[in-house]
Amino acid sequence: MRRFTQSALAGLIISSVATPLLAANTVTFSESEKATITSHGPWPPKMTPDPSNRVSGNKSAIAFGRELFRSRFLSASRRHSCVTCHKPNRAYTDGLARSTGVSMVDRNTISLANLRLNRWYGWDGGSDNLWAQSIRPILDPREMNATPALIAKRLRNDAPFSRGYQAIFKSSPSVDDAGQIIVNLGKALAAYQETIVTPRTAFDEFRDALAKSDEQETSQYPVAARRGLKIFIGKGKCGLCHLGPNFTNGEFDDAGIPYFKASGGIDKGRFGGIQKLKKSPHTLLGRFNDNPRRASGIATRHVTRSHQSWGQFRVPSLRNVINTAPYMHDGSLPTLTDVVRHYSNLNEERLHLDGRGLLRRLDLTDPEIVDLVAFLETL
Amino acid sequence: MQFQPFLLACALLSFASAQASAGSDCNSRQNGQQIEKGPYRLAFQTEPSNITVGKFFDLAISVCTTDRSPLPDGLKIDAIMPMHGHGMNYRPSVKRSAPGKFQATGLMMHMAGSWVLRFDVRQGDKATRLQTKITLK
Ligand code: HEC
Ligand code: HEC
Repeated sequence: MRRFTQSALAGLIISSVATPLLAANTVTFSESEKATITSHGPWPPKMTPDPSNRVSGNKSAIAFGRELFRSRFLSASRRHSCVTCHKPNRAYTDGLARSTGVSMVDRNTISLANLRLNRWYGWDGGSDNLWAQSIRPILDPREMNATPALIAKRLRNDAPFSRGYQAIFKSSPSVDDAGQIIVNLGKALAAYQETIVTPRTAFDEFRDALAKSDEQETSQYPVAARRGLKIFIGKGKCGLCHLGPNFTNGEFDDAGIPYFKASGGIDKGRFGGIQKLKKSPHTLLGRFNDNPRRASGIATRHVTRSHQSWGQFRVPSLRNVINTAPYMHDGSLPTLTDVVRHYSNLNEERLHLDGRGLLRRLDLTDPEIVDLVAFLETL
Repeated sequence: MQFQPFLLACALLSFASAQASAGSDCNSRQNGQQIEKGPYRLAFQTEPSNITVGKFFDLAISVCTTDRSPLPDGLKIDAIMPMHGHGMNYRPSVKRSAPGKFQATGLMMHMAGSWVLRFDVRQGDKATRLQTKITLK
């Protein structure tokens, strides 16, 4: 919060120097702009238990998942845990461009929050549910490098974890096979991660006050942020992809970030994500979904990949974005100012969107860049 | 012997067009939209009744013919954003529930703006495209 006030203040000073004609209190919104702003709330939205996970919302599973998340039990070498990369005191990310477990991975660690709102998980949407996404790093040779058999063996030999497992899943790890055990542990990890929700912010207070036409309350919102908001919903067209209360349409796009891996080769992005999904035994259409009707499987049933999926990445939520640097799937942009400059100076040639792309070079002025950043810092 | 299938086809055909002219709801506009092209009149209704950006919806479709042409035996549905040169990220599935009636599921428009919803009506090996513009806020 300190950081937020300081940079908002900096924004205010710089922009009032550069654009003296824009008096501080002249930022007003039309009815249609108000409707757009209101559509970015309310916060927090209602989050219901995950029908594909029978222990979603279960108190003991949440506590067990929390412990697993912090335990090195799930890595082959017993040197890594989820916390190695998703640090609770760093918004559940690690501050690195590309994270490192056993070895370096190709992508930036995603902050873990508001996960019940996702339709897809991972930068490429390679998982359609949270428990499957939670199993992936355990088995990834670059992250925790374990196998279902190894984890099953360890669990059977660990009395406290074994008792916890049995109490929650009503079945003993000595009876369940390794494939079932790893899924159940994924479900406990998911139950815990679902409880991480970002708090209400200055933007939410402003949005609610605007919806109630409470002038007194709306005036609390920094003027620089208001000017930034106007760009966000206006000429910046940011809301085309970053929409709704979670500031994302939950889908995939190309924001003009190169998709070459540091390790060499090309990151196929969404194209590869759909390939992974189709091969995975852990999707909402498979036997591990606890909902017999596969009710939440509609997206998986109908998803289709096209040449456009190449090099597309998930549109990230912008909630709490001030705390999740560095940015983009490859962590290549260190600050929010860098992100906004990227959109402002976008190389349209580089976008592989048939020249009719959604994104256009914005050519923002320096004060406008400061304002847009000031807005992002309030989310 | 060779005549039999032909006769049967005729029988089906007249049954179908009789049904269509008996006021099937391809003529109704309640909450839905109607499109006409060639011999076809197509009406559709969305479920839920409003399309929301980023949310799945279904379609109930009725097709009838304004002359004596046979009803379509197949229907394909797609939606594109012509200004952005992309379509949907999902491929809807379409089921025929009765002659001239179709049920589609798995549609999602992931961005605000101008979309074109396309219905490719197939009868034998002939396809006819009926389309309509949808603007999402
Ligand atoms: C080596 C670092 C590392 C470790 C260890 C790690 N993660 Fe991750 N996590 C990442 C990276 C990198 C991504 C982005 C992956 C991608 O898109 O390919 C990610 C993504 C995720 C996501 C997706 C979030 C979203 O919004 O889509 C979840 C959930 C997650 N991790 C949970 C876990 C859990 C649970 C563990 C422990 C079992 C764990 N992670 C261990 C680095 C790590
Ligand atoms: C065409 C859809 C689209 C539009 C329009 C768009 N974005 Fe993005 N945004 C994305 C995608 C996709 C990514 C991730 C790109 C990647 O990692 O390769 C992203 C990433 C970001 C990030 C980084 C978040 C993180 O956690 O790494 C920020 C901040 C951001 N966008 C802000 C904006 C702003 C501000 C605007 C308007 C100037 C905007 N976006 C317009 C799709 C879009």
